[in-house]
Amino acid sequence: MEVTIKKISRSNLLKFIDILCRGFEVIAPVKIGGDVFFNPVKKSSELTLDYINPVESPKRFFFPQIELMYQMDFEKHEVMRDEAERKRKKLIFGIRSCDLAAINSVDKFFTGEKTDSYYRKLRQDTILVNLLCHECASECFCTAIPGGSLYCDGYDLRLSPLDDGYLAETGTTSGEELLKQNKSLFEKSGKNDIELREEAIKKLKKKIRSNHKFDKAVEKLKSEKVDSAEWSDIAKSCQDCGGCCYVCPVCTCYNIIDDVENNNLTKYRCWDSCLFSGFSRMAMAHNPHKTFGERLEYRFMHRLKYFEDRYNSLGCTGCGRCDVVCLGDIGTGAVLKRIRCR
Amino acid sequence: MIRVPTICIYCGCGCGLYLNVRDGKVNGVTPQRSHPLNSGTLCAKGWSIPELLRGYGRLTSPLIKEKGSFIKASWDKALGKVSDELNELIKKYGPDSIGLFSSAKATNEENYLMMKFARAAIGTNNIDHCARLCHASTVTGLVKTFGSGAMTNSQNEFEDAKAILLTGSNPTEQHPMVGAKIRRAVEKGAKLIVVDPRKIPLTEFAHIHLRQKPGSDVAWINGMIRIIIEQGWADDDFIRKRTENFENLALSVSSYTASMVEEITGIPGDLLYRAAEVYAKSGSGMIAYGMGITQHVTGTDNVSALSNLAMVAGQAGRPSTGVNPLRGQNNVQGACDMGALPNFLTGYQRIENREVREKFEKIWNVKLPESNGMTITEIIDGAYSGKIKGLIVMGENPLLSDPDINHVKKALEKLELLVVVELFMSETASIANVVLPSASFAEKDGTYTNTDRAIQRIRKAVLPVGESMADWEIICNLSERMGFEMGYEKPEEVMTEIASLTPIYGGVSYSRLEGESYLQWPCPDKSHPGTPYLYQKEFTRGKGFFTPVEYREPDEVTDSEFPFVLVTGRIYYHWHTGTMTRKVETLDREVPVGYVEINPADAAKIKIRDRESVKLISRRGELVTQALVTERVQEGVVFMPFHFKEAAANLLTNPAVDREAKIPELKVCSVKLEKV
Repeated sequence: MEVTIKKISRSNLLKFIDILCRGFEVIAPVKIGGDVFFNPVKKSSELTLDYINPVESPKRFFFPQIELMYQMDFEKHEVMRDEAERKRKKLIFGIRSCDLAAINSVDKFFTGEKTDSYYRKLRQDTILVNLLCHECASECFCTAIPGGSLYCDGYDLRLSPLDDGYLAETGTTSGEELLKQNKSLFEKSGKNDIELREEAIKKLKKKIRSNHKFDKAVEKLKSEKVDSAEWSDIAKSCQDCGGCCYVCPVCTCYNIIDDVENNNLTKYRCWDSCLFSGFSRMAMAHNPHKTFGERLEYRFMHRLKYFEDRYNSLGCTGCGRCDVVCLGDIGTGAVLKRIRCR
Repeated sequence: MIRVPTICIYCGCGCGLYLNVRDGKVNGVTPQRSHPLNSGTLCAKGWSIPELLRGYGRLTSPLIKEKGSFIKASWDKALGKVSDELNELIKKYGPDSIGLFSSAKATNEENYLMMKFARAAIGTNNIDHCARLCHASTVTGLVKTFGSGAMTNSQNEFEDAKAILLTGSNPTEQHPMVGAKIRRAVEKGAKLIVVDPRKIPLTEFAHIHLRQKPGSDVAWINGMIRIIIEQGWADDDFIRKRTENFENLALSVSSYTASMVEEITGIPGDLLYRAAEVYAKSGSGMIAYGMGITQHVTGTDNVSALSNLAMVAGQAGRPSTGVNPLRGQNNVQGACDMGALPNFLTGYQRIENREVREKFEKIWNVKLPESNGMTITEIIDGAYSGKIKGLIVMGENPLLSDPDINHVKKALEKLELLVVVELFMSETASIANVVLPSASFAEKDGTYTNTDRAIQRIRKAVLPVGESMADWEIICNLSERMGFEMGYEKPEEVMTEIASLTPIYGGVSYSRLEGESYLQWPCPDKSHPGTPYLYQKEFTRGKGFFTPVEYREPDEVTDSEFPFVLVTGRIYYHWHTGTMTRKVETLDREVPVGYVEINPADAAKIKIRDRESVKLISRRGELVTQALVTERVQEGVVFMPFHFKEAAANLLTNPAVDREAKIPELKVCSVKLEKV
């Protein structure tokens, strides 16, 4: 496939989004109260371009926290499924590279060896418009871990902020198509635009690495040199909320709920967390991960080693959301910092 | 997706969250990052709200019991039946034959309407709610010393304290935000003193852990005060300028010597000395407590003693100091503020005060009953003795939550009319004559007041399940049928009326509660910014009053027949009687069955192994549950959570109450253990 590189002004970008809103459910960063979320918009004036990274990744739109799978009526012998969500044609606008990398990883899990039909139906045909970062938050550590990057493949269209607009690069034929259909909004890119973009990203990378440097900590972790005493010490602060897994753009564990009421069976699936003891508990209360320390160790090893071993893809993309959500102040960044310090 | 900002339904922390609504259903929650308290975090219960809101087990239509089983009925028929029967009872036995339990889970507006309904439509002050079972003694204890009973400081101030004295509370599990903030304070250098018979998660971070015998609190608190006075660590300036009656206090604590305190409490003298020194010399020390202090026959004394301690050390009236009761339910502070109490109208204005009554009578256009009504515990006894004939219970489950439930059941069964307003078919609802289905917090508008007095908005995100209706609408409908017109279109109008009648809520309005508002009462007028900590210049009663208290034994002490002390309490994954959390798979899976914690030495003596069944017997009842052999409890003490209907701890508990607060002694009773 040919890559087209164009440029678009800020005002034309908003026009472009307005056009996209006619054909897609555009899910873009929106300011709600004091927080920024990925949320559906009807027109470009509803979204914000002034954000670092939304509170959550777009995971919820492909893998909701609680999802009705189907309902069965025993008497009428009927099966009902929730179709509204499945009919939507989604376009995610403004996704950062960490969340894009996460979608690539989650795709491998849900649609790799075996396809999860629920995920596929919500995810398929979604257009992804990547917007590269211009700034980092204090919790961001994408480039502070091996393999992490401010760039990521897998976009249909990639936008890079420049002083006088945005550089637009196509990544797929769908992206190419969108550009073609809206030719008049785009102009030729400047000679130095790619260079300028790369310089800005380099600068940002440097800034992130001056905030965090976790290469050695990750290496220590991967070679399994963090002992169980250290894990149980870290785990003293864990308040077992599950938040780190819930906000993690790569975490995919879920639990199934069967509700039987009257003549109906309703089946849901909902997010789960490997930090709960019930997650790994077996018959006779046997539990391979009995203590908080063991469960925390498992989670970190899975995110930073086992996932990559198996899928050759990052299990942690450095978004830092687990650090914000953690009641115990032991999110990934905090723990890696602690490991490095020892 | 629509993101509806609202407040968590569970504990008194009052965390901000968004309900994520897609196609008319809540399909997720997100913690509010911009919220001043929880800043982007939630506990496991908060995170699991979407599972609760899937609606499993919800009541969808009014139910009337006919010949022992429930029949679905229209609202018209159900409300008609309730109002007819209430009118009948009032005619036959008088308005004081009716009791009403309001709800610490309902909104401020609903509690206000419930108490208005009781006083104006029915004509009785027999209204109370579950604060009776958790912090009634906080109010009586603190009113004596400070003049009003609420958390003096704010949850966020824990992080900046230099010393924290935490007693009878397990905030990591019951107030997760407070637990996190206390841990953060320790990591920033604060000294943490935990006084608790059990090991709790925060004892891992504590510098000193004093393990008192259950029910011996007055002794160690008086002992600490004596040490502080004798060592010259008392804040003389504060005592002189801000307090009175110090001489009598000093005299009363002088007999609490190290050896006497150790004999009563089991706390070694040197540890008590160190704790006293750390607290008194810290500069800013916060006392935080929970039901380990309040649920005793000496609850009022325990609370007064803690406030004596704070005043002696001059730890009040400044940021990161004070006496901080951690309120349990999402809106238990609000339910108290709204006067869902037998002796107060809103904002702790006494019903027995004629001027107060006249103020309300003028606005409500009705004559109000003049003398104090009955408490929850008295209403239950009244039902048993025949004094109470009809009872309306809104969002409470006394058949599992109240002490000695065999007695509660007999009492409720004697009623001529029991009406339960509920989300689920609770134990109490199942024995009712009429059950009215109410809407959940996601299905209505209103406000909650959290533990540090912040009034916050909850917002309607989805339509009520089935035919269920918000509590405020149910009360208004019922009231109109009884001939007392309420006439509110929406909860906002109720808050306007509350503000006009309640000085501490005077400046509260829905328009001020938009955005990231965290408005803490007292807020007397529209320009007042709210009050993060109380008593900066003076106490509510003017000078703080040192209230000497003497140690008294618990109502029931161990003997050769019942040799163990049973302490009841709560755990992180469950909420109260489990009507909600036991339907949430994530939470129920963590702890699916009840248990009793037994010290390994005791377990060895009675030959009980971990996870083996064990029988507990008290003078009031017995049950079989699973043993959890653990050093979390001391020898001679066993602990049981009260969430589980299959092993209901309150079959065993003692209904003896504190003289002043009428709070039952849920923290101490005597039991024996038998192998099954």
